[in-house]
Amino acid sequence: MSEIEKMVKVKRDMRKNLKLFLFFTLLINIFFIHQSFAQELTVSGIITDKNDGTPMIGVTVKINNTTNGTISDANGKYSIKISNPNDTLVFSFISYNTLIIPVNGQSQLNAVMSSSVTQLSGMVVTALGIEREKKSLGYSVTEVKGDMLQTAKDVSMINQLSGKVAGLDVASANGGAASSSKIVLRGNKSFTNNNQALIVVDGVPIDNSTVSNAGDKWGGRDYGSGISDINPDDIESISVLKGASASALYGSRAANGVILITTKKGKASKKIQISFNSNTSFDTPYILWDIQNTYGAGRNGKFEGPWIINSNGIPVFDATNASSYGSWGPKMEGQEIIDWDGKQKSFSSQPDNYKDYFQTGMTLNNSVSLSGGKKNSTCRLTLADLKNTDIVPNVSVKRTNISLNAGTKIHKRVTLNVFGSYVRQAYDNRLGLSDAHNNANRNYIMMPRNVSNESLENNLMNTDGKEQTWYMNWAWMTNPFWNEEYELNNDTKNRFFGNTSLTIDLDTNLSLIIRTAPDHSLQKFWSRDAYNGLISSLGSYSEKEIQCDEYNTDFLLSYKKEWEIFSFTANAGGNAMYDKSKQNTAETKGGLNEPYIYTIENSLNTPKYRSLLYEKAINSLYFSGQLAYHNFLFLDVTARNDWSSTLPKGNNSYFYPSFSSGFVFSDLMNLSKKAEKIFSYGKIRASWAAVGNDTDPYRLNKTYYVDSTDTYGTIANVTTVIPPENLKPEKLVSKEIGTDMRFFFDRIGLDFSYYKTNSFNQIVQIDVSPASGSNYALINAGNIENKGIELQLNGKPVDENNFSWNFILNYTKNKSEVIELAEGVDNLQLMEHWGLSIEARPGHPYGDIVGYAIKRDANGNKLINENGMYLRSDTTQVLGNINPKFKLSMTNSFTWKNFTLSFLIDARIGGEMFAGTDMYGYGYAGNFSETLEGRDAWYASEEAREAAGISVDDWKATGGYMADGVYQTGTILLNGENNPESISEHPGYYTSGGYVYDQSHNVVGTDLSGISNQTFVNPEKYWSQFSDWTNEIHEPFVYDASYVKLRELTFTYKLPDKWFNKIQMKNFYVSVYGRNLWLMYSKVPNVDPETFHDSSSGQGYELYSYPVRRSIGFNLKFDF
Amino acid sequence: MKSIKNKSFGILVLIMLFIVSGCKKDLTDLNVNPNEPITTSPEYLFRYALKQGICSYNSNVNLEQWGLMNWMMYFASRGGVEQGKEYVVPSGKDAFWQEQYADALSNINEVCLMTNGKPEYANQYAAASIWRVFLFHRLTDLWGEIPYSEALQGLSNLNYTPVYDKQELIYLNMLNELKNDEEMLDPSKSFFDASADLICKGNISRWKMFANALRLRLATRIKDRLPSTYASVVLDLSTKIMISSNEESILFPFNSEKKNPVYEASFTGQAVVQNNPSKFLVDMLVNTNDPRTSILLDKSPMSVLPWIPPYKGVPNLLLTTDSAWSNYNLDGNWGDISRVGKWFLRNETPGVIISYSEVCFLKAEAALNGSLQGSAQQFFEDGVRANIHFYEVYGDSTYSVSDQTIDTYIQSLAPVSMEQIINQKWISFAFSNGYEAYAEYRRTAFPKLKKYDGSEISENDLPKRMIYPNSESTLNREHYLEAVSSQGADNEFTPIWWDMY
Repeated sequence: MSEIEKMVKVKRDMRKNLKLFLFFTLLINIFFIHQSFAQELTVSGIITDKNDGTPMIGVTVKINNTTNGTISDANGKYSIKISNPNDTLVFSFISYNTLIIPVNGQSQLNAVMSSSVTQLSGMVVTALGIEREKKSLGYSVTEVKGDMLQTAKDVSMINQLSGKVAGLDVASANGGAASSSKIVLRGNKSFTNNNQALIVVDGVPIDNSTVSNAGDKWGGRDYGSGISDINPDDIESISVLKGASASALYGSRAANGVILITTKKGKASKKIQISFNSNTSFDTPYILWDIQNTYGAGRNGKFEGPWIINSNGIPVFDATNASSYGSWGPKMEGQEIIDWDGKQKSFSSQPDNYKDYFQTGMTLNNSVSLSGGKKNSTCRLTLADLKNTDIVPNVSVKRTNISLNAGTKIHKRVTLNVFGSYVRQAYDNRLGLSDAHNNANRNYIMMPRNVSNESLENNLMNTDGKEQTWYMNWAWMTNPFWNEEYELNNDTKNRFFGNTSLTIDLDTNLSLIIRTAPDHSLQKFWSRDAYNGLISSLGSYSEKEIQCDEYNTDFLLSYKKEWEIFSFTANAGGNAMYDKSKQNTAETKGGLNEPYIYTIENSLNTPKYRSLLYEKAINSLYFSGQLAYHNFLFLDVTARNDWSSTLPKGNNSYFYPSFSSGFVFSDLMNLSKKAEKIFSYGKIRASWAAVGNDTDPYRLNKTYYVDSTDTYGTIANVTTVIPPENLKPEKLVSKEIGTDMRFFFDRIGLDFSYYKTNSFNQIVQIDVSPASGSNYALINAGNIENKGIELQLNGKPVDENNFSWNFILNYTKNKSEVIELAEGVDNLQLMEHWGLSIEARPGHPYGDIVGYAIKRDANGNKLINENGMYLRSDTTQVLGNINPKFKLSMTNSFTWKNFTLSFLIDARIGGEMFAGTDMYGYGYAGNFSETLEGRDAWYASEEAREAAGISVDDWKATGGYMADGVYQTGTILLNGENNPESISEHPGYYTSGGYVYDQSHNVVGTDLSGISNQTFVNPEKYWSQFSDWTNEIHEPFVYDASYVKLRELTFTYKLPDKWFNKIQMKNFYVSVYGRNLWLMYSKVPNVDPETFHDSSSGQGYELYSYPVRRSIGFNLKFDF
Repeated sequence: MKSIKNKSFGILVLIMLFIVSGCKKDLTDLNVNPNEPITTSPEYLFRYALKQGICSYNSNVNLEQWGLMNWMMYFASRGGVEQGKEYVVPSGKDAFWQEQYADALSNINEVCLMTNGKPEYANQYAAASIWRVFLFHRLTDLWGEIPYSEALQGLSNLNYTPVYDKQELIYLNMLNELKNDEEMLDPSKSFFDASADLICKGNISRWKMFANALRLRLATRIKDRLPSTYASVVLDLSTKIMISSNEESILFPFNSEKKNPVYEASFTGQAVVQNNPSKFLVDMLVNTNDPRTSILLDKSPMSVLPWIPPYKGVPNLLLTTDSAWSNYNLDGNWGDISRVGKWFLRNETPGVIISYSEVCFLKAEAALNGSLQGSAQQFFEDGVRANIHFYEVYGDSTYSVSDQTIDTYIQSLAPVSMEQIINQKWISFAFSNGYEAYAEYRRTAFPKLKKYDGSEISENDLPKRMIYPNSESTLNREHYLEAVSSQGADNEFTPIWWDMY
């Protein structure tokens, strides 16, 4: 058998079965003999794109392990001379899988390049948009191909990255479509900054800020973040730069990592290529509450509380004097009642009223792109249109994107590239979140189970036009149907961002890029509280305008030089960043003058106007150099100096370096061919980097806030933050080591990183004693450490002709620790609401959940008082922490002939969350099923007591809710008594040895201290003890937030190209997909364990959140 | 080749120079805040500090209405009480500390710093200083030892952890400041105009009256601790200008936007929440035929029925589990319970800082113990009369009470005594001055508050002070511990220095 035949056999076997392949690899390679033929040969061929079969221009073809190479021409043809017929050719092209093909003596060798899903090799885009061979990097970069984002679409593209990159945490807030997402890489590194990754498009940062109070704890609205303005169809690839080394060149703003987006460029081709992508999806509410349908409005199981029995003995629900929420009343058994709307009806459950409030949402997302070009010029134009109607009625968003990407060689040495994207978005009625009066969940949580949607919908207002609802004692309970009809808001956004760059080849080794990138946006908002509404009887109206302008101008000088064994690359550049944001607000004061006219001029009192301007600039110079030895050992150095406008003179210039090294040890091992088949590639990498960071503008001086619209005249007050004396830049130091290994002809890849990051000198606003005259002081302090492991395993276990299986497995473990806060500061509140806070505490991971617990004895038993109720801990305690133990996600993709099935399962193990929905759903309202326990028995016991004419004190309840726990010290049961009492109420009595004695030392009772609770209580009292205002006990509602989710599932069929030959259509894909399909595992009742409060510091805190939107969609894609 | 390299090097250097030199100069200028000035007019700060001293929600509603006025038995909670304790300390007490120090005091202190030592601003300084004393005295009366001498130095001195001062020192200091401030006030010099001076309308002699009245109040508070100081202050004040009519009372002007806090506490929209007049107050007014009964109280809605009495209060310290609970129809429907009088439920009902009647009562007390010349009985009667007329002066003729009715009422009262003075003072503070009622109750143990069943309230039924906020025990721990070791355990039953009973 010749060598070639052996190889062929190996490959054939390999296709059959991986195990067989392994076996034969081992066996056959024992006989493998390395031979060389000293003979010159010219190899030529055509390189085509696997995706569409078009010839590929500009592909680099190199002879492996040499620097000799060539580039494919305009027809995709190449030709190269080799000295050894056993040489291997390496075909590489940006964003495509590098192909390594042994020549095996052939003179004609065609290559079909495919864009990689498994990311095994090839070039990646790194900082400043510099394309580099992944092999040469000393740090971890994960790349996600644009393809992965173009089928199962979400209204916010970034949410689709969830679970696809190790170390990346994308959490979307609960504000409906296009709400903000928190993008965190490798843990929270800063106490008070937003901790989010920097978003860079084509080498230039873009604005990803979240406008105004996104989900303020008192119930704001979430206005989304800037990244959702990027059209996923424009994305060629996304590189996620996780470590500081990767992002050191972006400076301050990249301290939390970088999401690097490379846009699709036009491709040279004979004719214009047209691509269509059409997406339709339907959203339904998922993870609804487990609601009880047995008991209705009232108290103590009776028509009490909001009910008044009329002269005919019929209970009348008195909405104006209703003094209690929820469903603690009698069983709903069709009794005759007069409802809150004054109508006589039967007292019955409304099992679907919450579910029925929602509708099926729908998203239409269409895009068309035109691409084309000649050898020297390319162009791509995309037009995309999105319409979404939410599951909440009357909420919708429309978005249009137009983007153009053009490149042309204006001189043989000068290339001009232009990318521009224009986005227009209009949003109707952003949802009120959390405690907002117009949050429908908040209404439904409190609403008795017998109140029908119909009664609410048909009785929005009284004859005077005033809002009505089932509870009108307190204005913060409103009618959800009134809200969706009259409490309206709207916002529009017009944004343009892009960049123009000039690449000048000064020399074969030296090039200069000059680039300028504007990012302009204008957002307009209006919002109104309806006239005659419960919350504001005179109504209100406000307008806001936010104009943001950011400019980044930079230059980059690149030098490359290759010698026999060394190659050297150097980049030096500078950037000038200028950021300006202007806000104008106007609002009515004191209500509207004329009813129902929502304009600023119609304000009852002088309207309030306010104009704010923020400006910031950072200038930077940077350098990066790389030395490569034999293309297997790489050493990188970067250095950057920033000058920031936000720091005081003397501290506003700061320098930080990074070092990294990659070592492809498999190249050095001189592996025999047989070994190479098992272990094909191995690299280790290590890096160290420092990054400096500045702060927000205007934090250095004592200022006064002047308000000229106050009812008493112009007032001014001094800032409540003590400005710092000599503020220093923040410093982040990060270390990383990692390996990248591939096995079995690159079919299995393993990427492992270990990192450790410390953030020092943080610019923190700490709480100070108010007696100092201020609430806060801004200082440099603290140290947060994040260390962790990231593991990515990917592979293609099966790759037959008709069937293949790909998978990517991501494992992330991040351990966070707040090593130090400011001197004398024990904790820093990141967020607080109703006594529960999310805090940073020294010695703990970032994000402790702190609140009141149930008091326990030394053995950890919960303590019960003589009334059968829990004792509350004396002080707040750490009840949990928001950080998971680890996260795991797996994407599998199976292709059989033209069918592809892929799905993403995402898991988070460990970490806790506080579910406010449960605290109030159980406690205030008794609307959740869990509150049913013991009700019947308690009401029966009370009935028996009343029948017997015995007072509460003398009656031992025969049933009800019995809390788990033991009696506190000092609980006694006197002989002849039915109920436990506290010894402190019996002066002179004492306990000893389990008995109670009187002053004459006679046994008069039993000491119950430490004995298991045996007191039944009213379930209404049991549950409401937790939500009792200012006496909250949060502990029972802090849950393990682990979950396993089937996040994404896509089924695609590629229609055979030959069907469309006549009309020249090709690449016709039809897909069905689903997102948020299945919460496979969760311990949190009633709410999604992934939901969180806002995208600033509100993680781990949930309150009245909307259900998850589960989408099922269809996608059509085809090209002309 | 070489020339290209040189050229490019030249470009590089040029760009670098451009960035470094061109932009660096502008950088610091860019950080000047265009939205908030670094200086401002003391007038704006003064107006703000006057407003914030009175108008903050937590001080007015949460602490005073829901806490102090319940403890002082003006109000009672319709929801009953837990475990027999009326005094569940409202969460507003921490917010009150924070709002008073970091907002009202911080800004009035800014005015003092801006005007101190400047003769042309002597009046502005003196008025700001008087207001600063007013704010501090409420704090120390609630907590005892508080940061005083080192307080408010965060911005000026980066002192985040001020020491606590003994109450004796604070009181002596405040008395001294008031004396100096009053002497510094000079009608011939410039002052804030009427629009900035929300409480005295730019009238310097009224500031003098305010200072003197406040000084009398503070001196009286420490009368039993430091009798000679008291006597000398009273003597010094006997020659000074005093508040001598209802019209000269020091009041805060609430309006339709900043509504009277009783309105805020009792009404939201049209619905009554939480609190109603207490049985103790209602009984005292009704039993003594007090002419203020129909002013302070509104008849219960159901009293249109002949068998329902017009006035009925909610018992204080009544447990929901108590059998007496069923006598009060409080579970959801409370139609036979009296409401707070409509006089208080007007937007513009003024907030009382120091009234003429209080000055009368303070003088009656001084006359009673011989520190002041004059008839204690006369001062006492002046006080009662002034308070009864107050509602008409700041209301309308519907609140007028005939002299004959007043005379009859006064004649029915026992002759002047400490108990009589404080009882009347207590009635005069009803729904308008919880802070002062609480302080005077602790000083004198009058009126003799009773439980709903008529029994005396016991030692631990009412707090004697506030517990320090959490922020102090964590953020200012060292000094907090010093204060605790000096004053006694940080609980609500440790008496403060001037509280001797």
